Amino acid sequence: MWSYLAWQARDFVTERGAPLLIVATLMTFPIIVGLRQIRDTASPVQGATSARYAIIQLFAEFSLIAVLIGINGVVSSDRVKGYYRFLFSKPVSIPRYYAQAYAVNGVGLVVTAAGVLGAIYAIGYPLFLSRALLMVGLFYVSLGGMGFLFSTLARFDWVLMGATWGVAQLLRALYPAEQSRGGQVLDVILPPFHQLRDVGLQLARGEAADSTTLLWLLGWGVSSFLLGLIILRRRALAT
Amino acid sequence: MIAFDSVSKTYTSLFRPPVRAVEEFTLTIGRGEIMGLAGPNGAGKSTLISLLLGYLPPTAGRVTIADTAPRPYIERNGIGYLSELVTLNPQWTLEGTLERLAVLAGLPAEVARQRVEAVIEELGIGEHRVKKLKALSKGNLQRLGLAQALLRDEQVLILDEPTHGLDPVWTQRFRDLVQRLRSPDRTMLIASHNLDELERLCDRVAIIDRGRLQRVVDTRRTAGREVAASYYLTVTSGAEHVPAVFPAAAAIGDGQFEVEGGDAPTLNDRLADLIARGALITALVPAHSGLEAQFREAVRSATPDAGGAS
Repeated sequence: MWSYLAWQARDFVTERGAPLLIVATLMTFPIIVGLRQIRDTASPVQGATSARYAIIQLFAEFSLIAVLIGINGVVSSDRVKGYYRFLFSKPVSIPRYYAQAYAVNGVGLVVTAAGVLGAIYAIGYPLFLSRALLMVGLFYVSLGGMGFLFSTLARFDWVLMGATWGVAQLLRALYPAEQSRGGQVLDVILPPFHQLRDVGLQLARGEAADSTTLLWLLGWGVSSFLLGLIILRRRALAT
Repeated sequence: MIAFDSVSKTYTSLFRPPVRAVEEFTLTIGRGEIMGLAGPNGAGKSTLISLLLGYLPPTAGRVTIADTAPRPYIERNGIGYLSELVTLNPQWTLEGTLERLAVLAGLPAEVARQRVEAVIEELGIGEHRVKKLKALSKGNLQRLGLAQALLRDEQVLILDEPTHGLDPVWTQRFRDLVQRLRSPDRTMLIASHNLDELERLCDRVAIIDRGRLQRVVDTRRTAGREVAASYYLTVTSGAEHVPAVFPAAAAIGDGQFEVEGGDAPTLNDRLADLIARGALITALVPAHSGLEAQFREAVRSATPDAGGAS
């Protein structure tokens, strides 16, 4: 199964590489243009501060979109298209196959993000903000874990993901945690993705992130991922 | 080796009434046996195969391979499986598909390369190795499906409509291949609409209809045993005498009739009578094989209108 890693990495590149490249180019290009101007005009101290701010803001948006591209259909696509029929007649554990695919896609996203940082460093501003990769990692583990779970459950996992995000936002707005006991309960039950951006920004800036919130986010992602594996073990692939 | 024990499968849906695809299905397939699975469209063949692969759970009953539930068995040993539709990523190349499936099957890199070359050679698909799957014809896709099922020396082979889309030459080669694969340790299940093929290849054929096992035909016993129920008779002259000799004859045209078989002495007497009347017989061919006759009878008896069991 380990030797199949190379094929899964190739699948990541061929199936998700193009959309990631397009998104990365569209989002990064304006930043690079701005950073070149800063490089040419601002003082080194001012320039580094501005560049750091621009890169972190870029990654706050890019991480979200990249994770959605990286996780979408990780399980459901094989089920919908029927590829599983051939793949799993081989001596392969279905949960292990998809756990490995999840890991490969995560590594692929971090490598892609590093490529974006490298491009900024090479042609934008000579600053490689490696901590921004922590933000991508956090987004992938927390949001990607939930995406993995939804992909084991439904054909249109991205719809389910969007709906969950939207419903959580709506319920939090209707029943704020600070105003009622019910709101506090809801706040604990609902996925904590409203905190994702803030904690991600803290990690990218090198600030001390609130450990409870960080663990809450990671816990949701890891628990969702593990639940997805249990579902893969127990639930039939055909419908 | 393979056992279906009182297996039922009902598909349920929130918005549609439940569909009973398989009901109380019991069948045991011995080690080394080649079992055929025949039935009309929608009879439940594909559901049975999905149950056997562990892709569907039975609603009731138990499916086992070597006394083990399907998924644990497959995850430990693997099986050779050809699906009715070869659903693989159309962007993959033929050779790349076989390589990745060989690796997935756990073959060491060097062995995987050798096996890929061997099955490409065996199935005659070498000239298409760099083509993407979306560019392959139905027949070549089917050969690829067969090739991947043969990558490892599996003890269980499940072939769903294996000759679908194959030309006559490759259909014959497939039959030769199955005969070569026959081994006391290997169990094969072949689902097909082609009864002639099942009769040639299989030791027994299970006939299912409406999700129920109607009968199991031992093709080793029925082969060439009896006079066919009806024949296609062709005469170049004396066609006008045929209805007098064969009262139930149905003219097909161009001197061809479908005539009743009966027992062997009666058939021979009638043919002699026909020749004595001046007819010149050029062909006499069984209209239906023994299996086909059993199939028709089994499916007819399963139809409620026919008053049989359903």
